[in-house]
Amino acid sequence: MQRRDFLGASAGALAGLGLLGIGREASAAAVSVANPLGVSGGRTPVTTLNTRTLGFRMNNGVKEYHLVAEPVEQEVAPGMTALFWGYNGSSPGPTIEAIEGDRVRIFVTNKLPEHTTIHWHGILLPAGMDGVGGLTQPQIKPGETYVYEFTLGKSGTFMYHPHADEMVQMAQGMMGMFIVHPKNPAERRVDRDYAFMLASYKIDPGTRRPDPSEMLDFNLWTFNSRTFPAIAPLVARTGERVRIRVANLTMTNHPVHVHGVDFRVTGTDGGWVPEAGQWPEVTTDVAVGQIRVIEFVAKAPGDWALHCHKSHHTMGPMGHGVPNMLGVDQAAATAKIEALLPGQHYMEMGSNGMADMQDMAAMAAMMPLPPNTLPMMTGEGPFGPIEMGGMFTLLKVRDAQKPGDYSDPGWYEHPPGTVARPADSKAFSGIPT
Amino acid sequence: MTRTIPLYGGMAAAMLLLAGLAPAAAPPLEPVPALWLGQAPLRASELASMPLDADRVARIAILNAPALRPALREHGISPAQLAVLPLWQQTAAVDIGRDVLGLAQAPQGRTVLAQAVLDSVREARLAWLQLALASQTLQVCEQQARAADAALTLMEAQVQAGNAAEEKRLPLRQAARAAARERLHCAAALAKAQRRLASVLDLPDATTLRTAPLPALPASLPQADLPQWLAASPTGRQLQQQQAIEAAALLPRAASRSLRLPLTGALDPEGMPAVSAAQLELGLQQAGLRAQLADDWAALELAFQEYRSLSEQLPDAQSYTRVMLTHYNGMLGSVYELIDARAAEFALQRELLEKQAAFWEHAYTLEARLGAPVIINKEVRHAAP
Repeated sequence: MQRRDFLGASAGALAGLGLLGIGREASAAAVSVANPLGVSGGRTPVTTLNTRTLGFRMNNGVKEYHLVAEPVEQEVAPGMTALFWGYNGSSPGPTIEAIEGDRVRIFVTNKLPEHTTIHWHGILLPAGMDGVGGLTQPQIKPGETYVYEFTLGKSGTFMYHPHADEMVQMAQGMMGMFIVHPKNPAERRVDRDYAFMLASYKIDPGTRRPDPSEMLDFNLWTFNSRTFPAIAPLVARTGERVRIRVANLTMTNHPVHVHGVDFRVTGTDGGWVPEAGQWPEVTTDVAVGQIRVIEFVAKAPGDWALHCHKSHHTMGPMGHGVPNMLGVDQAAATAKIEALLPGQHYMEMGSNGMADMQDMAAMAAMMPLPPNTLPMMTGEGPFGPIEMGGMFTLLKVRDAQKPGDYSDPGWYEHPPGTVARPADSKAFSGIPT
Repeated sequence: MTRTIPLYGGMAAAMLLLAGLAPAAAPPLEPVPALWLGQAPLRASELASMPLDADRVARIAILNAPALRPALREHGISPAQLAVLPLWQQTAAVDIGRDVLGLAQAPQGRTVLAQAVLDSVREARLAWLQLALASQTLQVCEQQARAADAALTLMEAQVQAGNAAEEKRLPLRQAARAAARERLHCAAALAKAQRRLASVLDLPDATTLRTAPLPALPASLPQADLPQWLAASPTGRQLQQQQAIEAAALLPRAASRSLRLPLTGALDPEGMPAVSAAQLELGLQQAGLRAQLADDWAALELAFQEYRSLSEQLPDAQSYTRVMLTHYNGMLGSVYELIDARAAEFALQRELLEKQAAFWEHAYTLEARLGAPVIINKEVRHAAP
């Protein structure tokens, strides 16, 4: 054995040694926004929301990583845990970061009850390293460890995921990001580099394991297998250049919208987009099996929403067959239904909209939800209920945020006179409508 | 006073004529002499004014059931005499076989009377069971109708708001109408049960019968003891006594010849061991009674097990309603699913009531055959009338 040069973060090194064990709980409350180690030479390391970068070691000039495919119990948001399959204790697995030109050797240990493989999505490599079970390699049976080895010929944003019983294994949360930084540290340099994966799950109320048979009707729309408000915020100092890498392994497209900035799509999982091919956007659609890299300068301080623009994807679990009560006078029926349910709290809902669902979540003691289920909408902001869920988080831009400081600065304090306010009726009297 | 007699003839015309000729203030003729009845009808009415249970109904039946009167008369007993017995002051449940009939010491000739009393009590109790069942079923039936009405009311409001169309409304309207019809049936069944019980107990038509709920089932069943039951039942005792008489009349005699085939050639009654045709007939009757008791017990056991199974199912159904409410709270499930869950609970409650009544029907039937209660209803203990 050659000299072992452990350069990874301690957690990454432990994971590499397979010491983290199976089934530990990764709490969404312990949001990981720390600047991870492992990327040197003045490059900005990637911050993967709610998860971490995988540690590695150098072995005769080869970067060695160790991924352990295993069951994981993990919090989706406060009040709900899920039994995922993931890597190294989390879903998604830790982000692999390397540098263009690196030779990487990745050990994959299978602690799942069935065989698996890993496909390195978007990375150009020898066919035998592509990770398609049965086609380019034998399946990695439970208990076995395989090794993949290839050279990273180009920089960019990629993914890793199983290519064995793929429908089940990806539905269980097996995925991760693979970032290759440019060899030249000055090339495409940004001040903040964020990454997250879009993942959807069907976990019925009262259950904990994703249903792999579901194709369309998912009830959990997540960034990195977490839903709002458990998704870590993205923070930036005013004037900083920010990159966000978004990978989609759900079964549908997601128009990702960022408030407060205009951005350009600078890369895909196929590589970097030449400047001549970029145009300004505030929403970019990330289709299934795609990655979009967006970049912008955070010019305006504030708490800016970042979310999928499909409105059902910014909701918590809800039934899609519930009757439409909008505009319905339920008074007579409610009295009759209450009489049917003596001793229970029944409340009519939806006549004036669904915003009162946020109140329902707050009244959980009196009007409980099923166990291990998230409310349809949630989140308290400085001005009241935010009424969101699912694929929603915040971009927090502050003048005073120090470079390299990823800590949550709290709620934005608006300068006087810059917040929408109730209007006096005289003020708008006479304006044509 | 002259009266026009219509030209339809026979008995009806004669009765009208008699009515026209009778003094206006004359009381109607009683079919049964009031002196023979004595205070029994009054005592029965007093008992019937209280909530009825199996014990009260049995007492009323002995005092006042028309079906029992011929047997009483046959044995020189009048309701008037019965009505003044101190037995009716007893607060504990009356054991008919022990306290009223004294079956353990009853001479053979009183078997007919004993069985007549037991049968009358059984008939009254079964009529009471129908009343108690109908009364409780009507309450559930009304809940079912309310559930269907609540669903329809909500759907009507949805339609009114432009959120639902006919294909959603019409099935609920049909369901609500069906539930309303079912409620009518339940109310009619209650009225019929009241009429039936009043008739069985010869109570005035205007009597309002109130009933205690169906008794709870015991936690477990006693061990079946068919040989003992057979020996102790009035009919079984009678058969045994008759068998003893028959046996005494026959001299024991061994077979005096061997039998040869074919059987159709064996025509020598004197060559076989002695037996009478009556003995064989009594044996058949005894076997029939034994089989009947076994069937009764099997039916009781089945009703008990079915009731137990349903009663274990009911908490699950109630939990399901609560779960559906949590789904509704989270907008994870439809309010109609919630109402359906509650309606399913009501349906189960009805089934449970039916099984509860069936159990007691079998228990009272068996008691009538044995002359003693097999299942003791510990709930019965009430003030004497």
